[in-house]
Amino acid sequence: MAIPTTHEITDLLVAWSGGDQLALEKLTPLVYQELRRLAQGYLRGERAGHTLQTTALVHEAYLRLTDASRMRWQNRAHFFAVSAQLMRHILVDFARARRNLKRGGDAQQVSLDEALTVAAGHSAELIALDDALQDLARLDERQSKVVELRFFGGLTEGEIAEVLQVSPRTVSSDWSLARSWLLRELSRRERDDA
Amino acid sequence: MTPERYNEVGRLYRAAMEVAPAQRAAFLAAACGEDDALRQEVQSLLGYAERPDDLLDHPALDAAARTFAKESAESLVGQRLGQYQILSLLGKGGMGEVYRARHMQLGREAAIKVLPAEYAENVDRLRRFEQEARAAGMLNHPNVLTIYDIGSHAGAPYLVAELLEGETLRERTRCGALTPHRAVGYALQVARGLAAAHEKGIVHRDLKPENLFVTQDGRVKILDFGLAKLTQSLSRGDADASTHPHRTASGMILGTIGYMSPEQVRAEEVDHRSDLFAFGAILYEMLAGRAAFRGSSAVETMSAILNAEPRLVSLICRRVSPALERLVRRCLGKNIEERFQSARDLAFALEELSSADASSGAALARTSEPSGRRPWLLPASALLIAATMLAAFFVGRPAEQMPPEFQRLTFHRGAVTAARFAPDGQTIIYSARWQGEQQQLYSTRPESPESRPLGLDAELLAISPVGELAIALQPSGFGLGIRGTLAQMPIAGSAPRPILQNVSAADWAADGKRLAIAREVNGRYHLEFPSGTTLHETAYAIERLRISPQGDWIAFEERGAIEAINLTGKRKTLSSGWNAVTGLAWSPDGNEVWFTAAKVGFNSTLHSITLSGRQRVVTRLPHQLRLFDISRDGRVLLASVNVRKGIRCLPPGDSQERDLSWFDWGHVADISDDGRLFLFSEAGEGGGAGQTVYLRKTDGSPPIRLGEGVAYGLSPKGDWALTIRRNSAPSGPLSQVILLPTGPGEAKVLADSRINWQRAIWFPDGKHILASGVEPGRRVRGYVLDIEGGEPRPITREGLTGRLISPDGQWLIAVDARQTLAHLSVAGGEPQPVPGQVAGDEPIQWSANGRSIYVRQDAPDPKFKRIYRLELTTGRRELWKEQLIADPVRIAQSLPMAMTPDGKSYAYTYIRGIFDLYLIRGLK
Repeated sequence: MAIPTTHEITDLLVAWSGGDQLALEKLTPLVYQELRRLAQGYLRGERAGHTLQTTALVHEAYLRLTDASRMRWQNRAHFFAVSAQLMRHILVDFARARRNLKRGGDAQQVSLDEALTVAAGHSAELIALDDALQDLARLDERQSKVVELRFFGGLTEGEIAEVLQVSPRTVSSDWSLARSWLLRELSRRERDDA
Repeated sequence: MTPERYNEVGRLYRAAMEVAPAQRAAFLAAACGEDDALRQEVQSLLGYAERPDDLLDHPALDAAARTFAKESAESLVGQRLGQYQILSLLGKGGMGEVYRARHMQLGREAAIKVLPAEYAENVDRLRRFEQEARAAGMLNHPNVLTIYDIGSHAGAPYLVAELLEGETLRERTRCGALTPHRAVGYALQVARGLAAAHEKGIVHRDLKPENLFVTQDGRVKILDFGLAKLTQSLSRGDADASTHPHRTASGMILGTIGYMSPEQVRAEEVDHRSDLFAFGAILYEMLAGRAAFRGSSAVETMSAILNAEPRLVSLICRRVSPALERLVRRCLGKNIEERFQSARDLAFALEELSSADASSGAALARTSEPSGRRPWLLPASALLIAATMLAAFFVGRPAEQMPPEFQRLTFHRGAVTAARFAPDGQTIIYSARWQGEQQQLYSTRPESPESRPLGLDAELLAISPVGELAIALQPSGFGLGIRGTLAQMPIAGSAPRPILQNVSAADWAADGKRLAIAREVNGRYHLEFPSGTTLHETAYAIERLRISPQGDWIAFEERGAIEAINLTGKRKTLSSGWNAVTGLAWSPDGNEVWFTAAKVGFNSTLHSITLSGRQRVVTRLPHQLRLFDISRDGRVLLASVNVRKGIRCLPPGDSQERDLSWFDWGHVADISDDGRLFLFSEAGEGGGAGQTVYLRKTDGSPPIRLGEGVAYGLSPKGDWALTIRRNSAPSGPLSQVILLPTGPGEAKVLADSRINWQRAIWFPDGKHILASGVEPGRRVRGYVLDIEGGEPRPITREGLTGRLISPDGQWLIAVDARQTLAHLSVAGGEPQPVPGQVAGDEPIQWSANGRSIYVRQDAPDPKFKRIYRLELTTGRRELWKEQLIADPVRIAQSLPMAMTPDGKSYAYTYIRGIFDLYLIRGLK
């Protein structure tokens, strides 16, 4: 049975990077399902304590969603860039939804199942990070891209260098600085909130 | 901070990072000069450089997944929860833990699901949860899990539900498809449960095999209404319920991939008809043994749900009726309007299907009563959302043994002689002779009833892990005990390359290069591995040889025994004394040899035996079985063989043969000279262990049972049936030559000496008998017996068996061990080879004038036999008749035929064989 999914997803990603918000709505559930799959893996304990493998795992999940090798993109770099952006968008969106749920301030209808999966986790941090990353973009656009590609996109430094057309060394040093800046930013905001 | 300033901070940060940590402060002090703010800024950032961070140092997707997976709740075993004592933990899921518990007053056992405490933080949601759970509990339907109680413990809400023993439908179907009968039975119960919930406005939204529970008495319970959502607001419903959008937050999809409806995949509005789609997907899976929608990833599966039509179930399981197929299709309509509009309609449709099958109707009536509606149980303003039951309430009892599922792969008339799984584990290659045609190799797949001929007259011996076939070219023998030229060829065509002659069995080693073979060399049999290195040599035929998965043992059959030999030539007899071993193969783990064999008769059973000799019966069926192969995942390829021997007859004056088969294994012995009577024995189950002799008129009137024994000849006057009775008891004579009267009278025992009698024929005078037998220490020879008594008198030399006597009683036709025909005088003298004979000639009658004999011979086309007239003095051979044989399976080369001396009437035995190749799942 021929399943034209990779084309479908490619088209959705292209449409979304071209500004089509409907495409995002269709992509979001796919990411969500993949998340659930990963989460189930953790639940079964299959991956507990295998931190080293998690990056590979996420990569795999990510490739399952997008199948970069079979895509007809302008180039790989463009694809990675769009995908990382997509992931950021969706994950932060999830985090916001979960935060709202916890605060009970939003009348969004979420099933019992979903309500129960809301646990105190990185939701708040993820939202704060997103905010801080927006501030960083105003200071240094490229550094915020490096963070987006690495953290949300799960890319290696080599891949990021390819996307941004800079040397891996630059990526490495951008990451170090941006990371320090973001960590300081996050701890400051946390203090301010408290 | 400005970008320029940040840039400057960055420049210094990078520079400082190049310096050893201890010198950084000094470096910065020098580099920043008087700009102390700059120095402090960089210094503070450097403080974060080596600090690990839980969030940023892992990809976000990973962090999000971990958040999802966050587990909670400590074990409550031993504690009290309300009226319940917690006994043990049954399971753990994403939504809490399930315990086994006992009500302290009632003694009743129950399952308690404790939800994570975080859930209780939201008072509003907790209240809603309680309402939902009560609504589901109050359904009070035999096919919906019953909720007894709801409470909260240390801030964690819990549900008390009935404790079920059994397994989920997922577990139930792990061995493959269910029978249509059973699948419809389960489906009807699910439909009834759904109907009850839907009529109360409760939609499940996440129906899947994991939350359908089959109890040990066969009742199906729907669990986990966890994703059910309000679809029907009551008039005074709360504001939240009346205004909330039907879409879920952030476009999240609820439901489980594979069973989601198209509208769920598209995150559109969902109603009860989504459940009917999921129901259809589950029913499909029960019937087909595989998911209706399946892709290599979640995304592909969802795409399949949106775009693909699953393959027709009836193509996968032929027992699925068109009506059932239509019902499944209707549930799986992509468009919500195409489906059944209610679960009640669906249940009615299923009831009609199953009432066509009266027994299933009765079974269902016992297990599932339709529930009455009980509106008074509903709280007036309740939100009708069903309870959350996620994990299976599974009690750790051993699961009920699943009956294996049989899938028939071949449908033609004829014989399958060998079959193997190809390396992909799906494709099956087999050799067969269909509808009387030549033997061929075929390829098929379980999902298709069709087979593709590979265009080669050969017997399949083995398939290597890389898809190389080992075959026997120009095989002689049939299925059991073939001989042929071993050849090798790739599955995908090209010409076979002959390797070795006279091979009876072969198997590939796991490396795909070496072959183990059994072959005949100068009348002895060699087992060689690798080919050329003899591990074992014997006087007996070696058949059905298989290398173990680990490659350390080779199992084979020799003389009715299952043998195993290792690579150093150490041999073990695992099991012996079998009448017919029809096939063997290793279990996937290499711990057992499975084989089909019968101790008595032909109805072989599938057995297994370990190398240490522990034997058990795997399965028994009322057919002869031939095991061909076991796949790496334990699926079994075997043939169910139903072979019968029938009798056809040409009565005098008729031009049409008629079928005069009586029981299952008729052997023609003789026909009267006028062609009006024929004598036969029944040697199968109908005839009993000792066989039974019958006399029958060729006009087709019912036969007369003459007595026990094997028939050989009818006396010239038709008053006696010449019979040999074999004695299987340990004492007494091995066999007796007995005359059974065809009319009134007593049977006469002619000879019960130490001679073991094998066959016998009448002299034309009706007073003497030529019987062939074996004296201890001698080979077979012919003896004359007087029917009035006296000692048997040997008249041929050893090694000859008399077959025909000339009309004047002076000459014999005898055969030697190689089946060569000899002509000799009754008075003695050297036997002369019959001139003009051809190998395979079977003597059937002496011509009335005494100058010729009739012999029967296989025709090149297996549908035919040819009868030749052979002139004894000149050796002139002429084709006298070509016979079209009914249902020619040609398992045995020689089938008896009797003909009148004028050649105008005859009777013969033919074989009716039905070999069906099956793929069996779930044998253990």
